[in-house]
Amino acid sequence: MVVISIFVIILYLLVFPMCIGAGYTCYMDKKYNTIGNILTIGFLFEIAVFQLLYLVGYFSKSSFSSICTLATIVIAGYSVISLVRGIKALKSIAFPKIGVGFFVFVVFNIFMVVMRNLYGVNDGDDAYVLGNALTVLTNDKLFATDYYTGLAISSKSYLRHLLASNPLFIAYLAKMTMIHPTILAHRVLGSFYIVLHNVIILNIASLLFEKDEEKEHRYLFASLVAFITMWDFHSYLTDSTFILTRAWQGKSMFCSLIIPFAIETFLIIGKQYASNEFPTPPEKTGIRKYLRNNDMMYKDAFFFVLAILSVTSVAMTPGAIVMFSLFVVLMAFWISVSIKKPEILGKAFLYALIPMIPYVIIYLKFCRV
Amino acid sequence: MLVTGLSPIEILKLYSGNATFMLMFIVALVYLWCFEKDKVKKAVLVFVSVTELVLFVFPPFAYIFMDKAGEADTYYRFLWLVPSTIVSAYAIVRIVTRIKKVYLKFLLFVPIVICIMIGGVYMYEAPVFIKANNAYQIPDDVKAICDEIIIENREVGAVFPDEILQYPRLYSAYIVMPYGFETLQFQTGGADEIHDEMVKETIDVKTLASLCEERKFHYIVLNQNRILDDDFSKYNYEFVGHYGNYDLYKSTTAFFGQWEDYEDWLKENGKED
Repeated sequence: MVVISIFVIILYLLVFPMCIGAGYTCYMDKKYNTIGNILTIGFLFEIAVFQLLYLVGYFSKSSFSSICTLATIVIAGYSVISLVRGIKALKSIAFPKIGVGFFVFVVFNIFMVVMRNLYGVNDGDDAYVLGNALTVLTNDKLFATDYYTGLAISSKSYLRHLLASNPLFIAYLAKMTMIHPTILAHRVLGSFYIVLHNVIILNIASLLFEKDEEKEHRYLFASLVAFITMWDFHSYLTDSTFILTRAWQGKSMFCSLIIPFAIETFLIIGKQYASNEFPTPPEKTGIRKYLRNNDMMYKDAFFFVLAILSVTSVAMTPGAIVMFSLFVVLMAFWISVSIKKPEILGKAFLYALIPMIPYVIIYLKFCRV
Repeated sequence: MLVTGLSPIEILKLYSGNATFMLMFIVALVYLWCFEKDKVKKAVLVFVSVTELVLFVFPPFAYIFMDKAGEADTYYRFLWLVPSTIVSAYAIVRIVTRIKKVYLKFLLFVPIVICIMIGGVYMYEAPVFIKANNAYQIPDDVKAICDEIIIENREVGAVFPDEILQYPRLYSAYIVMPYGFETLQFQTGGADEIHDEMVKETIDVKTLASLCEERKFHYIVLNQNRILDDDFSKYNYEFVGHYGNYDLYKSTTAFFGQWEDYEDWLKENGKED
């Protein structure tokens, strides 16, 4: 039983994301073909897939089990397809250089994970996030029971969070791994998200310190970010507080995963457009000559990542409709102005904001209490 | 000042705490504005951050989100879009690595680290953290109570005090409560007579017990610091035991069996549903 649970955790948090991510990084420049990028893109895509299936399930009044079955088929199937497409990317992964800086960075990660497991958190929002996950998992019905009390649902306050599937994603992983959602979230997901956050920071570091002679600075930067995060409890409102105290909750995931990954994505987009260097599609030979032309994917790969981030961000918190859109507009605007490439703003609008339109419609039509 | 609660400036002050990290962030912004040559990095780290901060305190923007959209309580979350930690760390590394001599780098970096430690507040000493003695990371008292009251494969009704209200349903969805954490957090979910009794310094045992019996709650959990004006056993609730800081009382009239036996139980006890 324990072995199966560990196996399924590895499958959902590492294997599936790596397969899905490789299916995307194969369209990117080789230097972005790192474990961190592949894992992050793949995992966020996994959440995006679940989000879409959950919404379909909710509006078709499906049971939670049906959504889980469908999600398993789609995620596993998509992983296999992505693996076939991205096998070359997986074979040519760039591994981090191991040195003193890397060791210090790993020590920070281990420390944060140990502390996450040593201490619980007295936080009422869990009553919603994990109460919802456990209630749905137990009853196999979406929003039939009030997750705060266990009585038949009377208040419609749940509609406010309808678009955020994160509690149900926890329930889904709990169902698949056969681990209690509270243990899964507090121990496994909490630790995983903290490490994933630090990995994204390291990805950002490699973009901020690009030159070969600056390589050691990357670990210094990533370790310093981890250090500042640990001392950032001067207010209970800071993003660091949310990241380290309740990493599994949607709003924390928004500031630990979505925002840093969006920063990374925009740094890459800006760099590509500033230098006008885009990955060149491989020459089509054999049967590939007759396949659909997907050259656009090579130029717009990171805009596709923005689209995935848009879908995923709302799965974490409905507030992302406004917050993430604003963030994208500001980022795209300033990069466009700085390097005089207005098409960045246009494409950011096309890829990142258009996926928000269905969310806005659903929110206005169904989610207002 | 905006209509609801704090003004954006006050929220910014609250977010900045003792202002050490905010000061470090502003110095980092100024440094990068002056010395960062890469246009993309400058746009992403400096211009976006400054625009976000300006927008945050810009009255029409704040008015739309705080007052019109009714998000005054969560308006501080817009500050999460400002990558203050990344900007500060990037500027520190840039400043330190500009220096050629190793001992000078060290002389600059160590005081910065010390300033962060003195000016910041160490996360893991925050009162929000509790020592986790069980896999669920919920208080041991609550877990022990839940283990005692759970009936396999059916729901059981229990009343918990406010301070542990969020935990029972993290442990089991079969525990049913008359009011939940929502009542405390958002003042929604409706006023509850049982809750009104539970929060009194001196518990009116007769009223609380009769309300719980009427609504068929199997258990009452009370903090030991509450004063009881009478004995629960007089009103069909028997004392089960002490669980850390809490006392557990069990109904002597409620049905504890499986639902398929419910009809028989009603007949045996001469009761009506």
